[in-house]
Amino acid sequence: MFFQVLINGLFLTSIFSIVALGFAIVYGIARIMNWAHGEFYMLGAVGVWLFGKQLGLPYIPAALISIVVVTLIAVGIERAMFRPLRGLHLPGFVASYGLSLVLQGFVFMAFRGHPESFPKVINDVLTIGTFNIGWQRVIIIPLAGLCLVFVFWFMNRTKYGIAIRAGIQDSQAARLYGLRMNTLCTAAMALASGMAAFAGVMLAPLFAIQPDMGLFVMWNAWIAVCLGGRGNLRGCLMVTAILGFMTSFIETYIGSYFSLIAAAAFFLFGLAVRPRGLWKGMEA
Amino acid sequence: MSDISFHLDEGEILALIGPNGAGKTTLFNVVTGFLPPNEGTISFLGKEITGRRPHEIARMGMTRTFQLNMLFLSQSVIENILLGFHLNTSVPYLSLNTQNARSSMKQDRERANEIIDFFGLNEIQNFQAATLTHGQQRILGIAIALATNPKVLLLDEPATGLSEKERIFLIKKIRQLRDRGISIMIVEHNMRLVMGISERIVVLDFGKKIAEGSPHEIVKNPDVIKAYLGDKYGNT
Amino acid sequence: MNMIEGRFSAKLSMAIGTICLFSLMFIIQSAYLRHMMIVLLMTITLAVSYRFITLSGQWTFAHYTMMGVGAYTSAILSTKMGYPVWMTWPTGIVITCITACLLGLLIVRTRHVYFFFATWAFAYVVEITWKKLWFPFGGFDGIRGIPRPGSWFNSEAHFYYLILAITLASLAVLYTLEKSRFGRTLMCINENEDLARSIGFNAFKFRMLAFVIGSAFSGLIGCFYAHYAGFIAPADFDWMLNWFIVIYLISGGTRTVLGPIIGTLIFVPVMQILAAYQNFISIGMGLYTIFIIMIASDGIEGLISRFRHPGEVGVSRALR
Repeated sequence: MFFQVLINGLFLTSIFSIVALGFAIVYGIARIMNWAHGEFYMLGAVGVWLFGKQLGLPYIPAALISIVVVTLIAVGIERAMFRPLRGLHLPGFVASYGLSLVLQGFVFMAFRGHPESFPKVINDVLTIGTFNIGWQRVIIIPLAGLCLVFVFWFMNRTKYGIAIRAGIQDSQAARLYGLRMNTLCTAAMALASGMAAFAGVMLAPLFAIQPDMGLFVMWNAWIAVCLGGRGNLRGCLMVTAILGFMTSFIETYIGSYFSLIAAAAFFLFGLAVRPRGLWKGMEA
Repeated sequence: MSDISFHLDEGEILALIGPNGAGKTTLFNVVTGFLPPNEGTISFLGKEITGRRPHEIARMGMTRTFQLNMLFLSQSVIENILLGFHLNTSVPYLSLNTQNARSSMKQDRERANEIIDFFGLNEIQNFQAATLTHGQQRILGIAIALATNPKVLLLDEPATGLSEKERIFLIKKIRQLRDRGISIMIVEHNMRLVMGISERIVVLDFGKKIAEGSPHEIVKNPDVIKAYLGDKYGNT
Repeated sequence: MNMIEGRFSAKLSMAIGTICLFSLMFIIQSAYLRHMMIVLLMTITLAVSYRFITLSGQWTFAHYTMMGVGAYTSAILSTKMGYPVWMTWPTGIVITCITACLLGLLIVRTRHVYFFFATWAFAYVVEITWKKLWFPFGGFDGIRGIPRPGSWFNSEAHFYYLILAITLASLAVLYTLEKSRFGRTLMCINENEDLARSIGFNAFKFRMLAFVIGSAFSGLIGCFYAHYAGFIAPADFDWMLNWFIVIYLISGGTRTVLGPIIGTLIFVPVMQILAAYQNFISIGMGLYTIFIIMIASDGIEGLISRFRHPGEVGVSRALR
């Protein structure tokens, strides 16, 4: 039981952190909370299903194509919709929710109401003592870790990444130094949506592929970003870890329906204690 | 900020100066309750106010202005000032246009007119606050604070961006406020204003108090000179 | 003289309007249309009370949920415990206020999107609670057999009169509150909270009051609905409805009390007509939301005012 909670916790933390981190970066630099971010994750899974199962490509090429396609779509949306709304918190969120309805609606119509599934790529099972877990699940943990390492390398060692961090801290000062916010926001969106699609692609073999699959991940990602503080990427990751293990614990001992409620309760009490986020964020 | 300890006496004008980043506005924020202090106490009129919230401190008689123009931009000048009377008005909250409500509103209008006369805002009293010049907005900020009938007024860089003429006007008004019995603490950069108006000066640097005294003493204080001009001039 | 005449003619036209509204029942005989009118009036009250909350800058995603709190309270008290309606309705409103108060204590200090999402989280928790708990909420099926408010209520028309009276009274109260010093204080706190606090306004208290008062009206409508429909279920207070009311408000505009009324009058019939095309509703709503945010976040009122006063520098309060 303990191992189950532990490994599941790591698994969930991995998913949440990839999606939440991307979301946090976009929020940090464009100050828009993009609810449709969960839809990028969903589209990633749909994409790999489309290119893999429907069109017959092997898994890895299908996954890569899916990620690229989703990123392009996201960048297009960013330029059309998010650029004019940059900096406006509530309108940006409301519009992004509308976008999420549209994206989910299209997929729902395309699927004609049934969820789809994608076959497992890895069928082996990892056994620790009496406890079994499919490698398909476990492998996500190191893959997510790699992704996080990549992101931190990107944010700390590349020109674009450092520019994005500057933009998150102080967008006016960044402009004064010649950084173009438009480019940075687009780059951030590309990175974030790519990460979300990557998560979706990894999870396609495990979860049912349906229009609202993004909700579970987005809910937790959102809480992580709110409680972590705007622009505070480490804070965000810490909250995803808390949420990941909490969800795992609850799913094992109580039941999965309760996990979203628990996350919501955690969120509400976290906000009550620190309305601006549990750690210090940069004031929006 | 650390190791800061000073007092403001009744009826005096105290200036708080120091290089940029010394912590002057932070000090204001702590004193008026916008930021909670980690350590130490603040007391006002003999009562401790550490950790109280801004609206409670305003009720007790200490009001502040802000470094940036903080106004109700969508309202007119006189409406802005009328809002300042919130603390000591008898207009009821659910004013249903009764006789009582109307006479209280008339009273408030009269008091607002008094403040408008005091600051010379008569010509612009019905203008929307967003359309005022910077100098006028700055004065309006002080007018709103005055409407709360404070015993202590904390002015955060009131002279920024003011022309010479406006600065002279400001000095005159601050002196008049002091004569009315209001104690004033000013954060300022403009040394001419500070020298011309303050009776006592407290100097901060890097969040610590480095000097306190009359204008004459401060000007000659080597620590102050070093803080502003650097080591080279410190030992003149 | 003119002012008195003006006030008189305003009151006269309001009186005539009220009489017309009450007598609509003689013209409209179809039960379906009467039901539509009742739903319309309920939604108008919800929309206007929602707007009241937004005066203090708070956009809630739990307005229908609060309606549900009122509805369930009154339903449970009258079905399971047999209390009469004149006791269950006030209790329903009080419980809604207490709920709003408790929620507010947790989240009123947050701003904008965080507040919105926090109320969403709350709405979700409450909805799951209703769905999962067989006792006392009746799970997915909800509560049946809720008695009518009185034996006089044996036709749609009588319910219509009741909801019309409730709506008119609510509008009057909310309008008065808004125009009073209390309402102006709320708007000041929304406009510049730091300044308001520094001159002595207790921002927290006012924002809490706005939230609780707005939610109280929601609870009232919930009580009415429970005893009108006779049965309630979690789906009646679905979170999509919370969303729709935001759309009605944005579409109509939040500048005056008329905005939400306009938005509701346009949308409720549209939604009823389109009720058959569920899938298209979500896509349609989504596209419409994006459109309205990007083009006209002031709503219809904003469009009208921009049309009448082109180039006017105003401080648009919508959604900020």
